[in-house]
Amino acid sequence: MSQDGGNGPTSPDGAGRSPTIRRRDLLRGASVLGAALGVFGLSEMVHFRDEVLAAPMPTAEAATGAPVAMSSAAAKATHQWAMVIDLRRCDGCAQCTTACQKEHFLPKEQTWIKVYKMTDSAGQTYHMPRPCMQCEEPPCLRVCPAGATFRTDEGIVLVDQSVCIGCRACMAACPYEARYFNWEKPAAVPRQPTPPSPAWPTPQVQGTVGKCVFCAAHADLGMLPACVTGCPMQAIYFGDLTADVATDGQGSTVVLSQLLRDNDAVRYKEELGTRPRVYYILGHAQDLSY
Amino acid sequence: MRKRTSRTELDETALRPVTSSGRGFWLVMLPLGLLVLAALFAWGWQIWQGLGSAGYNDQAFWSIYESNLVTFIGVAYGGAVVSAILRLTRTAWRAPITRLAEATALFSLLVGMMFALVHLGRPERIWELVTRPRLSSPIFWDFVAVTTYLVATVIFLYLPLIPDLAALAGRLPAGSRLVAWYRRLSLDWRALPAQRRLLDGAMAVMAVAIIPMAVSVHSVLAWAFALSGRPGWDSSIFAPYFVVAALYSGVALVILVVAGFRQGYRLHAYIGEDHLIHLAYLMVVLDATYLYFTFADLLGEGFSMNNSVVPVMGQLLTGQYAPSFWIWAVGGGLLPLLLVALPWTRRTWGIVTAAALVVAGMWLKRIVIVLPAAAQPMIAGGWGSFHFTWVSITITVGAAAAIPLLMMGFFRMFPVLSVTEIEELAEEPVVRPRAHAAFGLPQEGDEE
Amino acid sequence: MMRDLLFAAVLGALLALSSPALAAPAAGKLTLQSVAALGQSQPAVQLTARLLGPDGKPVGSQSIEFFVKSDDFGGVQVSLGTVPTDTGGQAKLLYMPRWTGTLAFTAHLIGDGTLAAPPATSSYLAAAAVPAYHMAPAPLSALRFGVAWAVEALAVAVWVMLAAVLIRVVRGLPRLARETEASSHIEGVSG
Repeated sequence: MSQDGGNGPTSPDGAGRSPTIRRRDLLRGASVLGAALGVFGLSEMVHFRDEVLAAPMPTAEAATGAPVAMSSAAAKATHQWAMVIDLRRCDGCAQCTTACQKEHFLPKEQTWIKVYKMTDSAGQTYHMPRPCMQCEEPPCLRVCPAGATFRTDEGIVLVDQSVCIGCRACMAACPYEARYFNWEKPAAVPRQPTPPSPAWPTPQVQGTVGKCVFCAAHADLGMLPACVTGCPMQAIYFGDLTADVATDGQGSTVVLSQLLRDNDAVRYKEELGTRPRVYYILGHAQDLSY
Repeated sequence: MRKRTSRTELDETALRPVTSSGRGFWLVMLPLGLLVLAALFAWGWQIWQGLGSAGYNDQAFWSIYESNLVTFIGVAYGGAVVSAILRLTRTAWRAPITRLAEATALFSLLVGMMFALVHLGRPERIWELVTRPRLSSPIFWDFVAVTTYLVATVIFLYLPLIPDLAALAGRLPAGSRLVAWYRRLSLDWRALPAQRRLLDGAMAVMAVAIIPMAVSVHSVLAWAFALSGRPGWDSSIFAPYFVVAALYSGVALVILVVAGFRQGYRLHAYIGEDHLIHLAYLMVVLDATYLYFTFADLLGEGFSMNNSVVPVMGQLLTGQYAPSFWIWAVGGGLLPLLLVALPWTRRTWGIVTAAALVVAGMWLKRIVIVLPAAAQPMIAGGWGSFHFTWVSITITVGAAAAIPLLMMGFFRMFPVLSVTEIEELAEEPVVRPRAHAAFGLPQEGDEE
Repeated sequence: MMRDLLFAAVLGALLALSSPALAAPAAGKLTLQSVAALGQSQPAVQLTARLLGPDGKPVGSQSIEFFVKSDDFGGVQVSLGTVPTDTGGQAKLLYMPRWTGTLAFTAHLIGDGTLAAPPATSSYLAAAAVPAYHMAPAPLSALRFGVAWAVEALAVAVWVMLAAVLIRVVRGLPRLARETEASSHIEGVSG
């Protein structure tokens, strides 16, 4: 390699030039590879997001293999679940909370539906049950780094506890403090008919975030959320915005839009733009702001 | 200036921690090592028992680990940016401290990144940020920014090491296993003008690139809080606020590290009190900027008396977090300013005291940034509270001990002073890096 | 409201049953018809309930409550509203189908207790339906992905830059050393 090294630039076989060429090729190769990886990553990520959004909610029917009334389900527009809470009827007994905790085997401090004691503008106290608001623009979803929080096409915001990394950014972002972390090992629960899924996260998973799921698996079975059936005051309606139906599960089944309109229902912290799926019917002088 | 020393003396000083480990070395390493082991045990305990064992609850969902994360990554930032800025401005007094500053950056960054794991409920799932990230999440971008910054910091530490390793390989004691490593890592360095041009060019690119990278790291870290829309965090000033905080505490840590290694490794011939004073000036400028930012943040949020933010302000300035806040304001803000401003305290002891106050005070400041906004009631009811437990305290103390431990371990293998740079700046500058003219920066020889 | 009416009706019925002093309600006849409503901007069903007295004459001023059966919640009767009959004995209600398929309507006589009639049913095949709810488009949706993509591209560019710097140094320095070695060797040969 004595002569070649010196004549490198003019050498036809380019032995002396080869390091330069190799370096250039390598650089070019690296940038092409990097760009390719980047583009691949991008498409994967966006693709992944679409998949999550388009994925049908894992239903209890699907899990048990029972035939699903696909014809009617397909003919119908998808459900858009919603909840209406009539604060005029709520007496703050918190039986919704107990029913929920019993249904999901939750510890005492995990109040997926929590009854707050509020003060109205006249200084009177009233009670406000707060489930997850199932926001249409969920702030918790946007900040979730691993895509563990997702929103089903039926409008329920769920957490995949087999994915959640436990960073709690969602707890910071939720303006309704509706999210709860499993700080300790959850207590053992009896055998469940289905394995834990986002739609039925029982038992809870240590080190992940849980929250009200509107009893999503119930809804597909034609059952009502535990808090709705557990309310002795018939203060909580569960409804379907698409079919325009709401029921308190105990005798009153009405047209949802009419219920909202006739009673001037409002959504909590509307100014945040979260577009909650939970509506409140307020009593006299109540305004839900503090 | 200090007395001129010969190249041999310089090489020997830089390699002293590598060639001879006195009893002092192990006397320092042993307790540090024990603290780190205790922290690892506490972390294992926490993973087993759940994050509740660290004192968290649903209202105080972010607290000490998040403050530690910001603090340690913040001080990391100082090291690299100090080194980069001093390089870009061709500051002559930088040479003996750049290696220390860059190593501080690397190791406090590593420790800070550990807190990103420690704070997670399921740290073993961190890879999901690679396999299934959500692009809108500030936490994902934290991950991207910090890992990018880590790679950049390693490169930034490595490049100026290349000539040193080549120069010092021959000076290592015969039979040292390090010789082979030095030779391999020095990449056939022969101080050829062409090699120097190549390396200087790469250094200039890195010095320029690392500044926006560091800014991005702390901005995204701030946005992890600010983008949550939570009263107290929901502030448009947060990103620059965090950047200045990071620089401020970072320079303070560099002062502590420089003073500590100067004392411990007897570098007095190369690092004088004037180095500390230069750094202290840098620190007070950042101190004043940070105080100004704090005022601007609190005034901007609090003056309107907005219902959502008033409770947080009240707790911070007059409520349960007020003692911590005002201790910081006086001890971590005003006092360091005075200690450096007054001529009779502008001595090594005064500057080191000021820097220690800043590092500790800025940790406290991060606690009162993180905790009140997290613990506030969002609907109605009482404030949450965080309980410091042995788990979180052991992990925090162990992490603080890990930085000197890692640095001493590193300097057990690599020269503590950038010998080539010191010599180069002491003599006539030979090569002018291309980037300097391009960026319109002062040329070598402009100063002094 | 409707609950109260139901309650009143049940109470009225109980009172009527328990008190022999009150006259037993006369047997009426209730029919229900559902036809596509014309002249509506969206698909609609015109529900017409017709109440006849024992004498076969239309009865006015009696409340009729309309229901539609929904599959939601395991099948429920959704109260659509209560309308009083007019002098022609007719109560009319316009309903917009919210789902397609066979809709089962029911009309109940609530009345004032003077008249009793079994509920009337009618089914209607809804070929078109308009869901009652449409989600508003996400705000700033055009920006969301653009920003994420731009930042991602920036991050990729930074990594490429870092790799380029490192590769340049790691390959360049030994190459320069080799080249110098080679040229000095040539000098030695020629000189």
